Amino acid sequence: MRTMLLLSLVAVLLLAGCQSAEQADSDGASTPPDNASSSAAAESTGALEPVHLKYYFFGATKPGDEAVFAAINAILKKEINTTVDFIKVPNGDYTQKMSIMVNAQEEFDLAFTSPYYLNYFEHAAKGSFVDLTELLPEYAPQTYAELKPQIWDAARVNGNIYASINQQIFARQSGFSINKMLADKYRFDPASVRELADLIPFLEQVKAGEPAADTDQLYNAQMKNQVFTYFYPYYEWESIGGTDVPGIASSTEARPRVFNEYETPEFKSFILTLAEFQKKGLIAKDALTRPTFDATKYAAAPIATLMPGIEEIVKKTHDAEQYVIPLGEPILTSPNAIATMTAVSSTSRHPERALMVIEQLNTNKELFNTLVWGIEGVDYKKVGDNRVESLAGAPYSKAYGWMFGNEFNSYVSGTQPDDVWEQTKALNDSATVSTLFGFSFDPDSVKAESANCAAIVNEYRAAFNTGMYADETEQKYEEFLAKLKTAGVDKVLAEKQKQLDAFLAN
Amino acid sequence: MRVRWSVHQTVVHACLLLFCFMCLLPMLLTISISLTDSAVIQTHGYQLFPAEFSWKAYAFIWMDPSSLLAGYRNSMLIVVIGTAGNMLVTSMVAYALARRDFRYRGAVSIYIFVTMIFSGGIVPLYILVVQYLDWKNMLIALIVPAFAAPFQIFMLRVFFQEIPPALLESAKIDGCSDFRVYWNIVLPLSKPALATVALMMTLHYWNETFHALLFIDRPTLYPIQLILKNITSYIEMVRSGGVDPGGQPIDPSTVPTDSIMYAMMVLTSLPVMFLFAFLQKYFVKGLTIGAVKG
Repeated sequence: MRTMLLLSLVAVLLLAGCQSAEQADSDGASTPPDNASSSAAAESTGALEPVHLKYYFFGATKPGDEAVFAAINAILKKEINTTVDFIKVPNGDYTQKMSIMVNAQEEFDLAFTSPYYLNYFEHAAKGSFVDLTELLPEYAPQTYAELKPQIWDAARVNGNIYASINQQIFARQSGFSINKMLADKYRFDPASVRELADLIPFLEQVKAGEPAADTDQLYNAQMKNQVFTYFYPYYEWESIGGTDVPGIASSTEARPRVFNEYETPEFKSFILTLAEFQKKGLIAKDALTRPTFDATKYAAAPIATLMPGIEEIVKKTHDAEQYVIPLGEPILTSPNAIATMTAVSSTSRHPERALMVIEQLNTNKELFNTLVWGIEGVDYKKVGDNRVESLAGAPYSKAYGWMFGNEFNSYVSGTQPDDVWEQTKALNDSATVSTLFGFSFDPDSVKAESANCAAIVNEYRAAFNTGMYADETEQKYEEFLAKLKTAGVDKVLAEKQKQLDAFLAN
Repeated sequence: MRVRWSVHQTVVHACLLLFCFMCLLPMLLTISISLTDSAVIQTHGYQLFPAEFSWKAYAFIWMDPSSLLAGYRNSMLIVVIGTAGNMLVTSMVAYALARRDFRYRGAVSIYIFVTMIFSGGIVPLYILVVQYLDWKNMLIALIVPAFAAPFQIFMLRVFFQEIPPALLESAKIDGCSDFRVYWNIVLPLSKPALATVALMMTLHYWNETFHALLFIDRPTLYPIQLILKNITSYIEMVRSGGVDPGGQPIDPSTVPTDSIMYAMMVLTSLPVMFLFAFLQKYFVKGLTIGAVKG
């Protein structure tokens, strides 16, 4: 009689148990399996055995994906007898999903990583990625030779390289774009702009002279969480361990001192100027809350990274001819050099094969361009030797070249000049290399202080960057600095200085 | 007397109408934004009555109907199988726990209650589903873990306890087995409660996003919520700095970004809204169950 009751209970005990499964392995600290040696021997002898790999990166899936990935696998099969499952994850969830997979020690082979996506430093330090220091020159020699050893140093964590750098623009130079038509109309000389405040007279004239309906958002305050960091290359500053935690240093001094970027005259004048902008109605009144901005209304906008062909890009963005005003000299810092990388998971059974795929992605132009552009005639058409155009209604959406490998192998398109990659390479080579290049900060010992400071920064930053405090800006600024002090910013600065000194001493 | 009554009534009706309007407003706004021309949103912001009507957002989504339809199909499968399985398991457990002659019901109740408050965390669940059960890229990974829902078990238990024991006893005397008592007497008497559970679970399964994100890699198996995420992801890329996912500079105003997001919301919530309309009468009754003991 009771069997039914008991049966159903047994079933439910099993199911409820799903939610309280073992805690083992969840901290991801356990040692990764060492498979490197086992299959390496087999592969060095003659023909490669067929291998299937999983490659995770972020992006939006499209119906044309399958056809493109099949075409790529045909190439990979021929070249290195390998097939790859290309798996896209929606970009907002990439870090979370991958972190759980890494912590659960799931088997996969390749993944996109950067300081911002699937935190490279954290995962390299805790052993989620395979140490590539020895494997890169052996299995991906051309990829390795493509970059100067100095650039590879940027990817070093505890002295080892844990990911392959996807080459793209490394040099950073910030600047402004100014609407050409308006500048000419009001006889404004773009070359006179040296800092943000220099824009005020021009924007005021535009505000007074143009119809009110078009002048509600003359200055771009859209990137309200970032704007101040745009200007770091100009000041020759460099953030250390992310942009949320205070404590930066000069990129060019021989003995850089770590300081609180918010306690500088530069920052103070920056936010006071923005408050001025807000009071004069040069920034959208509801910049903090508005869901969308109209880029065509901007008379002036800050630019984070100037690159070859930027004039055409901003022209497209703002739908009008622009003057581009560079600030300072281009500079090469480690966060920019390792902004886009491909790592091999320590759970991979075939790390050397994964590296061969990396080598293919970086050196095989046909393969790389299929991945980036899709299939010729279906997704794009060739309009020149090295120039293509996306076709309307293409089933595959063009991917970022820097996601997979050397972007300089990509076809050029649209507004890019034919020699855009030569120009970019030249810019990378000519840039001043930062003293801090290759330094990475380990935040472990000041975790709590860092988190507290980041919370305070995030509380104030957007309002400062849009000038929302207006007349109260100074008072709020003092309050902000005081709160940072209480949160332990000095301890964070001291720790950063300590690690930096140790780095420079080597 | 009569006049005062109608004044009273007018006031009550006015209040209810206002409340009704407040509830409907966000929904109407969502629908109307999805039908607004994106250029109009840029200039005028969100409006209840679009200055310029446009189907562009829906047209954009329908450019690729296959993935949308696959999303509906997967979500339907998850909802139908999941809800049916959940109701069976949940009601059986609840019935066992409602029976006073079941000796271990205290201990079992506590066991279930604990899972309601503490969870093992997402990584153990992930390890269980992916490594032990090998359910990665299978819809079953989204269906089975929610079969035994602790809250619903307790809700049903209270409802079952209100059925007079005499009724069950008489059924027994007439020769019913335990299972027949449960199946032929208890379940038919509990329709409102079961409808409530069904609705709750339907919503739960329909809105399943996070687990789907974790367990499903293959786009053909995406449930509708992931399709929505996929489109949102595309739109975020378009928005960030005026480049399309390919890094090609584009004019953000040519892609109806806002209206697409709202159109997607309409498309994902419509089926559930219809269902709610049909099950609503049970839902209200079901919510009050367990509130009055008598």
